[in-house]
Amino acid sequence: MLPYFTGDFLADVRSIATREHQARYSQEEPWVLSLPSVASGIRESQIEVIELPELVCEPGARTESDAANAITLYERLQMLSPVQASDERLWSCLAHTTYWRYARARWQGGSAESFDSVERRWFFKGSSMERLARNGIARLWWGAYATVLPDEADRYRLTRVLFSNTDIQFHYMERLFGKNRTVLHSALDYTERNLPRIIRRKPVGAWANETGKLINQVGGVLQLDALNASEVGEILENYLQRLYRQHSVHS
Amino acid sequence: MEIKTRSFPYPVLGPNLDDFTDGFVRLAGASGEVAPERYSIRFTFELSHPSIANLVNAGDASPAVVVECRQNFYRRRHKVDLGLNEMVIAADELHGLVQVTPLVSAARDLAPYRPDSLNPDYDGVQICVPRHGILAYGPNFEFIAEPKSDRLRKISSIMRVIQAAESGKGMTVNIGGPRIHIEVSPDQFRLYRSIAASRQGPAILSAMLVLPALVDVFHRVKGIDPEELEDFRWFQVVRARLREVSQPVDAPGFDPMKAAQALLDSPFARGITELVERLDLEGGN
Repeated sequence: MLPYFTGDFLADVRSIATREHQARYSQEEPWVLSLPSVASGIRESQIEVIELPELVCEPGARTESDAANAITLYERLQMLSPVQASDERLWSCLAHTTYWRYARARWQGGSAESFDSVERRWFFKGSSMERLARNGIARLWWGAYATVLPDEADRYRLTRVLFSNTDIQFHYMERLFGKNRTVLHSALDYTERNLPRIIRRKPVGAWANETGKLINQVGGVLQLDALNASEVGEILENYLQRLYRQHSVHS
Repeated sequence: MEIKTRSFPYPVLGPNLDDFTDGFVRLAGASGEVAPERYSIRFTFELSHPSIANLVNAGDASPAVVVECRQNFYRRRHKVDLGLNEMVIAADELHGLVQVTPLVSAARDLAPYRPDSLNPDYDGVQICVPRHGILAYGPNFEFIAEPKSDRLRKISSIMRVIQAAESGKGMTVNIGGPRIHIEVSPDQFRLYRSIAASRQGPAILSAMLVLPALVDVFHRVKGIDPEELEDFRWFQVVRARLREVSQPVDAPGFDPMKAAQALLDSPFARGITELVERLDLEGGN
């Protein structure tokens, strides 16, 4: 069964983390398990899981395994509904217990000098959708959820594109258009298919930044949610062609 | 959905905009009601602008609402009709502040675009609106999506499907433990596991497995003194949930079928909808 913190226990954990984050988040072992109230503070959710998968994070290659981890986690937890997966009690519990070592390795537990970074990765910070994209474990599930292609042979083709670069995650997933499957999928698909052409003109991070802004600007005038995939692709193709034209003028 | 008014390069009918001297779009009498498993959103889409309404009637413009959950990744455009509309969204999709934004967008390039009641500042100006350009929008209707029950503790939490020792095609229901056990043969159990982990599984299983099991349990409970069941965890949970859906188990007219359906929120309707959607996706009729 999938574990989760009770609301009261989560408040206690957050309170301790606020005061003692430097000491607590540099520990090798999950510190919440040594709290006296842990027995009543962690419940079984009754969401049946055969076994939670191992998440891997190699030292010196912290981002490289994001896509594989996202796919593994989502495959095992795809029965979660969006409401269940929006629950801080669940993800904070997993980050502090089952995935404590992963979370510390991935987010460098030692960088717990500010509570801000601890709060973002081990809890939910703020009330908007960004909190889901930043919690160390929730981001993996939501990244796969937002990009999975249920009817394709390679269901996670776009998940791998999303997690291939932190700028793509940030500029595509954390902007409001990231909520729209058609737009998000089309932008990732276009980036994947045209990567050789893109990187001849821009690093892929800069491409994600600029096209993210571009799509936002377009959404200021057009009803973005009404666009189909080929219309989104056309916007990006026009932009890429403009980059090529600029280059030929300057050279 | 937040619409930034300064973005438009052409006149738009909207609140706090002075591009038009008359007209509005709004959702009148809007409400968002929660049933255990779904939200019902009802409103009357009002468009008070004759020439934009004419574009809608001619198919050159589309009225829609964008439903956006601010706290997760739900954002969908729903096409609507002018007048009364009702839409149903699964309770498992929405959490926290939900905004419903009414708007009308161009279904094709509109050139020239010359609607009634334009501000005189536009006299003599050539106006073009691209396909999907927003023509009109109204104030958001907002509500808080708050599931009636803790979504990490679903009704299925007190019910488990387990593998029986013997083969066969039937199922038996055992209420003599902390959870209700539905026992099925090893073959059936394997098939059950393959569908239970999918997102579509629960709605279908709710109709074909949980509903008959609950009806069976409620018939048995009807004839038992509640005090004899007090110590069973599943009974404590079921009794509390039945009170929430106004079907108390100890009421004189307790109807097992009605109570089970209320508890599972129309399981047949949800199951058949899920099946039809799956069959359509797979090319069925």
